[in-house]
Amino acid sequence: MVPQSEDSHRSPGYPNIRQDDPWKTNLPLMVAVGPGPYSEQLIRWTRRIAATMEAPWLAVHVQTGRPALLDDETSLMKNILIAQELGATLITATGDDIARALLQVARQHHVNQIVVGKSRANPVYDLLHGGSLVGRLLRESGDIDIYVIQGDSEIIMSRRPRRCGIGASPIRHYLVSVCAIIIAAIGCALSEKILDYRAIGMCFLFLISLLSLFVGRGPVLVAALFSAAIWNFLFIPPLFTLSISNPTDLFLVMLYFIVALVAGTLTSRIRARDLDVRRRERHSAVLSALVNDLSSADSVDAVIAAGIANIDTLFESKSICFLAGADGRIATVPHPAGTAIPDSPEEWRAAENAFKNRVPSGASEAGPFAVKTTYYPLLSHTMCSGVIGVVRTSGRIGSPENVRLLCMFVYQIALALERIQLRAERLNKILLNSISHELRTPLATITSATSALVNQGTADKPKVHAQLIGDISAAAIRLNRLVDNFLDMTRLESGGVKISKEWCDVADLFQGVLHNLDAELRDRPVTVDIPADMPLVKLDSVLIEQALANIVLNAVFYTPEHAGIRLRAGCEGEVLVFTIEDEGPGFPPESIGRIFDKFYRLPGTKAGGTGLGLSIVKGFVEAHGGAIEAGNRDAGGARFIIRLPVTQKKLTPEEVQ
Amino acid sequence: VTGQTKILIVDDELSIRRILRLTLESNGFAIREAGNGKDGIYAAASEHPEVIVLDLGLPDMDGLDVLRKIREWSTVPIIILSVRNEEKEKVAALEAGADDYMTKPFGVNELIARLHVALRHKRSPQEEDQTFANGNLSVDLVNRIVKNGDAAVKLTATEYAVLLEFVRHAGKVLTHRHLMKEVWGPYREDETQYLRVYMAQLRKKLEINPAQPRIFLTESGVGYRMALIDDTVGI
Repeated sequence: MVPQSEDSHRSPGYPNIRQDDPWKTNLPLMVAVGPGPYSEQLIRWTRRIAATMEAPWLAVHVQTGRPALLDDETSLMKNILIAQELGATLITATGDDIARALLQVARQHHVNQIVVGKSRANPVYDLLHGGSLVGRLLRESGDIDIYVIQGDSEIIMSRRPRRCGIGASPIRHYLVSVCAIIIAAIGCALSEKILDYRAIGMCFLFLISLLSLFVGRGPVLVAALFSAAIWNFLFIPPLFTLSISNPTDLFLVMLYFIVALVAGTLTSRIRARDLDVRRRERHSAVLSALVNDLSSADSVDAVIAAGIANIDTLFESKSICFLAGADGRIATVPHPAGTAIPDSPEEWRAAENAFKNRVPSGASEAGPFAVKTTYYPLLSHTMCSGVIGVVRTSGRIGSPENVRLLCMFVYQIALALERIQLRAERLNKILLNSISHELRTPLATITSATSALVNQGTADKPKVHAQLIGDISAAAIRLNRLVDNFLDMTRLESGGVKISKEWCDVADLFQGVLHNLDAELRDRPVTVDIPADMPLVKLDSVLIEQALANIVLNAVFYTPEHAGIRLRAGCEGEVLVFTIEDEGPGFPPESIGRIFDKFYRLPGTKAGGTGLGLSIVKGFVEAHGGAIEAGNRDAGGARFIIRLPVTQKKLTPEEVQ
Repeated sequence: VTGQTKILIVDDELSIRRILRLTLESNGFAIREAGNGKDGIYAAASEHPEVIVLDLGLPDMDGLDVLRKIREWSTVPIIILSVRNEEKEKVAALEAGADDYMTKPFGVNELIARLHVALRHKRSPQEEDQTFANGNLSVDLVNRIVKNGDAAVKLTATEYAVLLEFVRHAGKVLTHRHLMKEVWGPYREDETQYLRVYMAQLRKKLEINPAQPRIFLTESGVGYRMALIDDTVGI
């Protein structure tokens, strides 16, 4: 397909497209997306050009507030999904006037090139909107270039709505309108004695305006015609004929008809827009609720569960989810968070079709699947993480706006899944880097020190030997601590930490910590402060002892050699409080919020730690139902406070006797 | 001190066996080695070792089963030397009859100290002892007089019973259940909160600094150990 320049259509004074350098660079391109199959070609074409130019591109869809057909909705959604998959930024604009809406979006996003399809002639639209879409775009675009692409006789912009199907007013509205007119006519006939037939005309006019507040344009039109006939037949002389003798009366009837039509149409359009605004508000409310739920979910399972719960609540439906596996295919068994169970192998085939072809598939499609579920691909910018199927028969997913809302839901779920996937990948990478670095450093020390030991040059220097052996031993201890840390972290992440509580003396706990860190604490003044009336507490002594040891070790690592460390314990009601303080430099204020993060290290610290110690502490404390906070003491130095809910028991030796 | 004391090492790791052989032989021990559980049990019966150092992760059978097999007919001191560092494992091994438990990686000095403790128990049945001394603590076992330094300390009957259990097994890890069973009898084994109270009392009366005890040490999640303070332990 070749872009056709439409220079001849441009108003004078606008810059012409230069044929030698057709594309302005750096600024984004914009393509208008509609429901037609041709729109897809247009999207792909824009993508190619954007890629050549290395420019970003927007896909814009204009919602006109006019009802559309289900088929249109589905193919529109498909086109939007395609645009998203190809990397477009999707924007949905609203407005009756497509040209104006498109240009507004373009200006907001500093677009300097708009791609549209050459639409089929539509004289009514052109007359109502001051020219064809393309013509108007060309005239009103200012310094934005418009590229018009020849399509296969398909309008890519929102089509004129067809007055049938879901978009049309229900029969009920026609009946209501006709009945209202008949009742009004009876009323007027009864009061004919006091009212002039002109006043009765005004009554009918009032009724038409009133009706248009509640019914669509069709019923209003019918009501206008019907009332004009009745007015003429029953009230305008000569009575009981449709003929009008007086020219003034004829003029009145015609005027009446036009006024009724205009008033009715205007009111019903305002009403339609009002409904649209309300619908949009509702959509954004439920969407933001969904986004809220999704953002607090931090695992794939949690996202699926939250997503399905939201879909099910809103649409009163049941859902099935198949996630993509590592092999690039969807799982053969549905995700356990699903609320419906696929009842035939057809279901899976429909799901697979949706996944493979990246299109909704199943119940609503004309496809070959005899299922009652429609599967939507969980498609985000970079990947398809699976499909979500919604059982159509059970819920209220019939209307196109609900289908559209559902698609938005599915898209948000896909984005949340992508976010988790990316985060997991990043964490894995950090973990691998960290593990390999941390393991290699002490190994390098050991290897080089042992080779130095067997080196001829050091053979008769016992002092050098002692030094090297000391290095090897320190490196080995560090390696062992690393392995412990990695194991603890793995245990925490896999949920393998089991709490086994037993009665415990806090003094015992502190003593265990200090005894195990005897070597590290050699030269440090350590103060232990336990109130004399400290009760026994029920806790997992191994876990808590290790948490305390990690904090003390952290203090040893980050403070000067002779800085003191203070351990305190106390009870605040049912809560056991440990305070661990050191006399080091404390935390830089900007780091306090991050020190419990995995692999976080204070900037500019010496090598040797893993960045895991404190996150393990947090994990253990939280597994125990407690909380930990860190801060700086007023007098300088770091302070950790651990709060654990515990059962307490005061036992005196006399009682035990 | 020990002469040619025969020690059996049951471990499948060749480098560990070699390091142990090198260091222990230079410290005056005679070494026998076994690379798996079956050989270990056989050597325990045929070589009459005075102490067995046993690994738990053996290629042919679990070390705990080796321990139980040997305990069926022998009271020879057994020290477990394993990479398994979970408290549950330690308690299980001690309750199956192990005398001590060390985790790998280990220090050879520590191992030699534990070997000496094990041998001391084997060679000097406590019943014949008159007095026991360890650091600032001394116990006259005949007259039931306990001293912290030079000052006599008054202990309740239960406190004395707990102390006596430590004296009998000085240097060894005693599990909570073991202490409960020996002092309070078999039906209150799980009510370890009493034990905590008594340990705090003993520390208050017998430690120089109860907040940082040197004699009655906590083995977290496992039990307690009376540490042997160098050069002062004697009868």
